[in-house]
Amino acid sequence: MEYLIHLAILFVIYATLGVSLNLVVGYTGLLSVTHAAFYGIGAYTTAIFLTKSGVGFFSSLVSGIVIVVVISFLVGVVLSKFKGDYYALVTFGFNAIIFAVFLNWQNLTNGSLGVPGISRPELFGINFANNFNFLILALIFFVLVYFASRFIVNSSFGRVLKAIREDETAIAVFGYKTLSFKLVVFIISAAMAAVAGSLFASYITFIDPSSFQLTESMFILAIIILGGLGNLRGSILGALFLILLPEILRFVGFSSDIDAQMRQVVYGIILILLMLYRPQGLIGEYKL
Amino acid sequence: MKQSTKWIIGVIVAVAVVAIGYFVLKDSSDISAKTIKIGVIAPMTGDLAFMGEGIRDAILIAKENMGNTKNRYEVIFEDDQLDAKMSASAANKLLSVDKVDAFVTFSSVTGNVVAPIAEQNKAVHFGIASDSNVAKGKYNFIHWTPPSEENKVLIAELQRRGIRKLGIFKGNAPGAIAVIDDLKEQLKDTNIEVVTEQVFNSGEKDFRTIIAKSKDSGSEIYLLLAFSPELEILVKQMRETGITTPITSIENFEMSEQLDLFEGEWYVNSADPTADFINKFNTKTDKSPTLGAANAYDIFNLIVAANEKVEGTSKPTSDQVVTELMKITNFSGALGNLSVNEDGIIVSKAAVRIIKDGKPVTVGN
Repeated sequence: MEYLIHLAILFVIYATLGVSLNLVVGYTGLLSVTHAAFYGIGAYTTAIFLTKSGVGFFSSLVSGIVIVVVISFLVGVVLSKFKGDYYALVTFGFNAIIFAVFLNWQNLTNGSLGVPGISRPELFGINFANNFNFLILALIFFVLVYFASRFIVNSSFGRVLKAIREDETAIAVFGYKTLSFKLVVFIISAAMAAVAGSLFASYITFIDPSSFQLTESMFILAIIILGGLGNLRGSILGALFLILLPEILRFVGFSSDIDAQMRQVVYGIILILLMLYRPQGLIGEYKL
Repeated sequence: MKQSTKWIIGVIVAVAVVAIGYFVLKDSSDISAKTIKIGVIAPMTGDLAFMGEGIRDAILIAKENMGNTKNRYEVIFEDDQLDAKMSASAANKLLSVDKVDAFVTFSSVTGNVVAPIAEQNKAVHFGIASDSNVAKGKYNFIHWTPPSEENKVLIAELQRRGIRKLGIFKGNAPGAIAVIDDLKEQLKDTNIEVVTEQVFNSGEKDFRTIIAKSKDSGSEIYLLLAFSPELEILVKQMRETGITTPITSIENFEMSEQLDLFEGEWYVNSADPTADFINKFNTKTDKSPTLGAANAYDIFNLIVAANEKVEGTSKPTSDQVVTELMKITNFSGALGNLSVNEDGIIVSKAAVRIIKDGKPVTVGN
């Protein structure tokens, strides 16, 4: 049962990341590959606050969000000067910078050795060291993120985002300041990723820079492409699929000397088949 | 979305949940009550897969050679690609589905993720890791030669060779910094002097500036503490700039897949595998033991020895196994005579090696 709860927690954390990234990529049409950076800043803020000061989980989570909002604002301002492939490249560069900071700011992050011994949250006498309790906590945050995202995409603000995605020049002609819209949605999305990062750090109780590399950003992007761009439920389905599939393959009885390699091959084949027959993702409304 | 698509997605999700649920909840009564299950979490795919495979082979060799025992032993391998979330998933799967009694993990990352899970579930955990945090708690142990032991051997070898001026190139990582701090402390009582110390960040590709800075230092040997690919790039650039001074390292040479770059150079490595283990490994795999393979072999044997020592007819509990492990001294292992200290660290001695014909060879053998 603990295993199922563990998978459910991972699924909820990645669904949170998927839903938040979908706001930027799926609804606004901005190809961002830097989500792991904000996820990592949230995780490191929580890890550092919990291990090096007496601050509690919820205060560290809020601090993580504030730090990410400030950084994403600065990054967003720079990103506003770019479009299309160049936008993606700049986000790529930002992820690389943040990874280098995690790796090399030894006094703060402990570099490649990572931060061990991160405690689980405790609130009103409820100890979240129990995985089931932690799942409930993660679900609460996910529901908040999901409904906030749904509110955004169904609002007039969300309709402008979709219009930017379809034709930015056209919507600008109507007097909309598209840069502001793009900046705001980028900051909101990053703040949501920080929440997922805080949950991840506290759940795993150990973090190191390898969890927040570019490959992690690509994994989150794969979640929303597979589930479906421009559809919040698609992000949930994508997370479910990409978190569960490797675990299901653990039970396929290959012999121990080729087991791991064969799982990777099967995993790859399934993803290729899915993209061949559902290029728009499982329930996508938009194609990159 | 079409109705049929919704149905297909629904069926896929339902099948996935039912499949995992079946394996999680299925009764494992077919396994004998006295079977000790050991879960091994290591990178079986990815850049370090060759090390994970070495660990798997070493444990299988140990299992084949364990002889008659009163308990049965079963080993289950899980791949984690050295990814923290996959390590956690593998540990949870091994505990919930396979009901393992003990864990073996490779690397400090995996060890740090699994240690609290093992502690919470009272499962014995051995990490092949240098980070002493991994050994925190009653049920956690590490099997790795401590850096202070390796520094002692390095200094002795420098003195034996009459080297008095040492140059250092180190990656800006806590592990390397700790090793060098300890080395400098130990050098205070010797006539060896650190004449240059150059630091670089992880991910750097151009070392020519720091090489130029150190070129006129008069170093008689350079100590390189770097991981792949920085290590290989650094050595190539040193050679390109005309530096022919010998180079040495602590462990790092054997973490490279380009051993020919270090041909003829000596270095200090964690405890040296016995000839018997090397023979067994060669016979089974046609390869030399990889880093950590001998540690994995010893860990399996230590777990077996501790379980076998527990008296009584029922299956040993983790507490009983831990008690027996803490009593172990002078255990004859693949890395020489082993003892378990009070911090849960398996103490073994470091060795001087040289790269000869592209292979690591122990000096004196």
